[in-house]
Amino acid sequence: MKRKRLYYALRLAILLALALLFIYPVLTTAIKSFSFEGKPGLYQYWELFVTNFTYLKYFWNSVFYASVITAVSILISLPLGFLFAKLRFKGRDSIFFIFILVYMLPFQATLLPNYIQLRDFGMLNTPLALTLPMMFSPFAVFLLRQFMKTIPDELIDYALLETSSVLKTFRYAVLPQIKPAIVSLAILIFCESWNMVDQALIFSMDNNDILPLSVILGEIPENVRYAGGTVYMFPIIMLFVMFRETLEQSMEAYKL
Amino acid sequence: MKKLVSVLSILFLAAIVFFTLMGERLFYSTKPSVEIDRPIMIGDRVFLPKTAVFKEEDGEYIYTVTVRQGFSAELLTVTRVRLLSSMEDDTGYLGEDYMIVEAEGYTNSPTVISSSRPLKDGDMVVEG
Repeated sequence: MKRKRLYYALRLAILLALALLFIYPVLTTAIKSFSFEGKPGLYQYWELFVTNFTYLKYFWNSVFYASVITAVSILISLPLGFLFAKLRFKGRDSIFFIFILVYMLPFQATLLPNYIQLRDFGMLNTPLALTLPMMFSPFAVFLLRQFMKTIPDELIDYALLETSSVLKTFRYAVLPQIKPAIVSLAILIFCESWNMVDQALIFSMDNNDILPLSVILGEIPENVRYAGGTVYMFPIIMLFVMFRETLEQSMEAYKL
Repeated sequence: MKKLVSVLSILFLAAIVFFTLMGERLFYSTKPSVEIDRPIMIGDRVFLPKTAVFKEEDGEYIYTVTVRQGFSAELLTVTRVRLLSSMEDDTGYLGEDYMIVEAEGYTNSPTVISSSRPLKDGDMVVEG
């Protein structure tokens, strides 16, 4: 009994230490954003939004890119995930294997082919260059396929018999079952695209106006950096807090 | 907790939208608007328009302007310079709207010619 308590206490201490380690930079940034030249208050935010008024232009760039990438990514990945999970056709497993292969490639491996393609299509230094490559996410297809595999085949067969339409089966039988998965995936994709840096730096070298906030954050004046960082973190933290239960539910239910 | 987060999110969004629409306008409207020019040097004499000399309780001052490139716009900061002497233009070169001034270390810096509001040392201003 004593040993169990000791083990529990030790585990709690380690987890607390790790949690503090992760939360310390976030808390420090947020707390220091409420002081300006030693005086407490919101003046740093005023300086950020008024004296450095173009900060918000880059903020909205990030919002636009993250929202578009998330929406289109989910729209494309849903039917593809269903295809790989439930429909049987020749070559299905081979094509899915190629998806996994591409998913495992690091970003740097696909950087040059992406760059060449975007250049040849005349899309470099445009918002399309920062959104298009990220819209096709093998990770999203993989995840949704795994979720959809847990839906009983009998349900799909029954729905197909009733509706005689794959599309209606997908809409009425499959989609309602994977709502938590879609929400979790949307949050993960949003976070990933919100933090995009490499793609923005390389695909938009000659056009600073379309850069996302993640790239510009290092260039804002020192006296407003804490406020800038807090505003940058705020949407992601709010998303996580609002959908924490859904995220935990889907991770637990589907062994993510 | 969720209600608090929702309220904070709405307030945050409202603030972001407000400053997106009004930020630049506030930048220009909350600062004194000034006209800037360089002094005219004739020989070793420094000529400035009379409007550039600000009479204050403890003497006469001019305001020089330092320009630096900020993140979003040029940032103009004024520095108050006390005049050692000033007199009407008796040379007839530039007319009665000008004064001959003398200040320590002041020769050819951009100077505030006129201002929409009283200035203080270190104030940020906008040109216009």
